[in-house]
Amino acid sequence: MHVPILKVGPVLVAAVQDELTDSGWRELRDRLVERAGRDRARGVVIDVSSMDVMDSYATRIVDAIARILRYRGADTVVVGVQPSVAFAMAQLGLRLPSAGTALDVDEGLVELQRRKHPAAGQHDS
Amino acid sequence: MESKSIATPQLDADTRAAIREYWGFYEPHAAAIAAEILPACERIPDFVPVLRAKTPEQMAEQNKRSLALQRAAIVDDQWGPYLTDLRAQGMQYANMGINFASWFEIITAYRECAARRLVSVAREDMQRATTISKGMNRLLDVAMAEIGDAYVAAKEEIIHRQQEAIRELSTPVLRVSDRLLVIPVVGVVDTHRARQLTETLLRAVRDNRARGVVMDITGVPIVDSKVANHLAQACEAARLMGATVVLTGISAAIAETLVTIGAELRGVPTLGSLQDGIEALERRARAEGAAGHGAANGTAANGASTNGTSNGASSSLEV
Repeated sequence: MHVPILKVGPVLVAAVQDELTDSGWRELRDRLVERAGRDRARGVVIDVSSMDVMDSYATRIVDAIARILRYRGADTVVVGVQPSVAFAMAQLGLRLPSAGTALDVDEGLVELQRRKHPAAGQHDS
Repeated sequence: MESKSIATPQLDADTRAAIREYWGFYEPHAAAIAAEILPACERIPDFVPVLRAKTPEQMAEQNKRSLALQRAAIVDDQWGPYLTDLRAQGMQYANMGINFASWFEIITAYRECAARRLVSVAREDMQRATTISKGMNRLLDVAMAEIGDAYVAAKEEIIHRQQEAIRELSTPVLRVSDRLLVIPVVGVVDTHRARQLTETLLRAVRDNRARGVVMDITGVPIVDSKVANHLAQACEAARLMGATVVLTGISAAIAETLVTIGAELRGVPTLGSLQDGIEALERRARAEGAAGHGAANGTAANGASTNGTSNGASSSLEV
């Protein structure tokens, strides 16, 4: 399955459709990393709102994407995790330590903008 | 409401014969015995409302019906309707809140009445009196077992309903300001409740597009490692949806317990009071509103926790 990657200004948006196979995830990873470099993206939003299941492999690879993109200067925000999916993930102890999370694409863009200015709030309380 | 199928009681031929023998003895005296135990029933406070609710005609009608059911069971071996009737009685008494012990008082009164009449039989034929006594005891046991079973089932049903009601009532979701929710948790959090709590939380986050949620556990009496784990999971799940959950209202005693038993609220930001929680999240929301202009404040990730890439939610809320 081919996941469309849209360019919105300095941000790439990948809307994952339905269930993605393990190889589909790997393909998405490779394409995202390649596109991020080519388009000089500052952030990536991965929309998983149409997914009913996020298993350990999917979670791991999304977090890996976030770590890889971090090295290439882009932040990653996962958006649209459904309540049932979030619940199952929490129960299985699956986390996304390297990726940000937001409710939907809109929020994801705001979150990315926020992350672009980390220094402003780093040691400021 | 209950799935237990009603079956013919397991009685051997001897017992059946004994119960029939008893029936032959009892039926002619039925009306007299009923009249005799009525005063005993009236002395039991629990039963007064039951008796008051019926006219003497209705009472006679009920006795007649009950006799017919018993006859069908004992003479024609048709136990179904009789046992169904007993179960209905048991359930009725449970729903009326009648003490189960009261029932035994009536049975005692009944036994005494029957025993007095049995004495005259015993004078002529000891063997028959013994058989009748055996039949009577066995029948009463069957009847009481059936009533007791239905009584307990009905009570359990009531308890179950009330538990549901308490659960429903005890997890309200309050909207404090734009996209900020408060969930006060009251009562014991067990596995079932924790699950329901998490579902409520996640639904609320989605429906209100919440950015921040303060979960206040002032009303939770006990927090052990299991509960702590449940709460941490709920917060983690909400975080995956992009909301920040702050836990407040951990009393000194509970905090002490958590430390003593070594339970951890991993990755969950905690603050002292509900007020602190609301203020922290509002401050954060304001800072985020300004983030677009490069003036983010108080929302930065806690660099030490996850190599500088952690999202702002991980225990990094400045008070």
